[in-house]
Amino acid sequence: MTTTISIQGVTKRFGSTTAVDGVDLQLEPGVTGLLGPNGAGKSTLMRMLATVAAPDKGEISIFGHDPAAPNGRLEIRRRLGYQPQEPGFHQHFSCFQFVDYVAILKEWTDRRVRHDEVRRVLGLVGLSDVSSRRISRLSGGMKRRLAIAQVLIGAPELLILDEPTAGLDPEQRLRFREVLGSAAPGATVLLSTHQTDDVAALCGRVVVLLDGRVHFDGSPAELAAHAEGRVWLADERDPRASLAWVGGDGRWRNIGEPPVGSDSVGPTIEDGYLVVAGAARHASEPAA
Amino acid sequence: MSEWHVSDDMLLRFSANSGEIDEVTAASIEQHLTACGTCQSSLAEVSRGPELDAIWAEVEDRVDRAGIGSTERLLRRLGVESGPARLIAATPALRVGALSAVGLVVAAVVLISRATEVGEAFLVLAPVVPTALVALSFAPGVDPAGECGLATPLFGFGLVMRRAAAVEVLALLVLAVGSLFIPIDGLRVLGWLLPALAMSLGTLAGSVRWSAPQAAAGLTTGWAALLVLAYVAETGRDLTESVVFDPSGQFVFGLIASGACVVMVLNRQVVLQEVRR
Repeated sequence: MTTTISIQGVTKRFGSTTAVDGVDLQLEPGVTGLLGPNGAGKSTLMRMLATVAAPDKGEISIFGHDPAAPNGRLEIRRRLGYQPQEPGFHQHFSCFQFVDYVAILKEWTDRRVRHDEVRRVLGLVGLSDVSSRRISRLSGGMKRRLAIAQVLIGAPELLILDEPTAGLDPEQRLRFREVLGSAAPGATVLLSTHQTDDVAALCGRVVVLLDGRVHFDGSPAELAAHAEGRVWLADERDPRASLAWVGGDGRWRNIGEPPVGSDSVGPTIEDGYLVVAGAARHASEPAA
Repeated sequence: MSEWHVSDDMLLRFSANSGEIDEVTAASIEQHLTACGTCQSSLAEVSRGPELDAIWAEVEDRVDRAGIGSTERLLRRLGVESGPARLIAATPALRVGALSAVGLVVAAVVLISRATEVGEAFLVLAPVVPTALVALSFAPGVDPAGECGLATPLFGFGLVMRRAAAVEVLALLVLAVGSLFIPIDGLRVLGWLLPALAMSLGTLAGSVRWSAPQAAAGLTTGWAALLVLAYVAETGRDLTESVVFDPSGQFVFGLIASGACVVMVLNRQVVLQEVRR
């Protein structure tokens, strides 16, 4: 399979803080989920891949181009759709005008063709009915959908989506999954999210980023398998569990080393993620 | 009914009435159409496309124009195409609020100059106006759609320069109108022009090392210090007569403006990085 993105030893620092620390990654067509807590370096990594920020160290190659070179950056941007974590908007623009504005920036020069494309992407995210409404009068979920619409202009080959489902209600999230599946077939999609069910539904591959480093890279099933035999249910919190919470049925879901004879259950992606994160935290703690 | 029918291409050219068909052929087609139901239907079909296209384009144009802002509308009236007009009009300093503030400041300075019959106030303050507007346009994070726009092909040094030029031209036009009402004789009334260019272009060039607001603040402070020095050196004489506004002073400001352009072009990637932050 063709490699879309190849990064080697990429590091980005902000003062004394290392946001991304020597990351190596290869991305191919398909949807890859980027999981990690706040401050793990997900957005910084995505900004570098979206050619918005430059790494302090390491090499990035996207479609075989170097984003540090002006010509390479231009070629990458022609094939890229990027949704930042906190997309800003010209509040006085209507939905149509904003997407049209981004389409102009994406070199759609023919007005008729461009307007057809703007209407198409607004339709994909369900904003056709409010296309003339000012952005200042949109709800948070509508703004999030508008940000997704501008990503889809021209059906780009590479989509970088920083928490695209944040602020969407359950129905809108399902709609987003449908849109992503139909609007970007064959594209390389990298999306960060806190929603493990989004990862389960959308991603063929998941990367866990913790403290700026890759701690897991594999399929969602392989991530869940990390917690195999380490999740059990009990009527009360088990003191041996490293993490436990009450489920919808009122029973405690414990994660850790299970006691003999415990009521083991099959792990989810979330369980696997928590085990990976717990192991990373444990490894980084100084030895007693 | 005739077995022969007019081709779609011929019908299209006939319906367009653009002179592509000679009169004899057109008369022949017309004669045929009166008797041939098939060709009448075909004519209706082929002529519908272009007509609908034209109507649709007109509707789209009107709808598009209805919702646009005043700056974008003005740019389009001046002949700028819809795409570039929208990109330039999105510059924060070109919003109606910012421009109104500039207009009010210039008007106030003009009124003060006329009331006191001293034109110095205008010459002293005019260069600060475009400098402040450039700083406002390119301050880090000031573009609300920044991140979405940054990762697009058209975002580059060319766009930054087009926006800077639009801001500069507008500020200079407002100041030029203001200078018509200043009580200074001759070309000295335009003594603000080259310092204004030097300071505003210097602000952009300064963003190679500092942020645009920092560069603007530094240059404005330098400008104030220069005027104080000139005032002291000329022992309190009219500032308009000082070296700052005489030909040699103006030549130096012209050199600074040119130098700022060279610095910007040579360091365009760094300027972009600053604007992108």
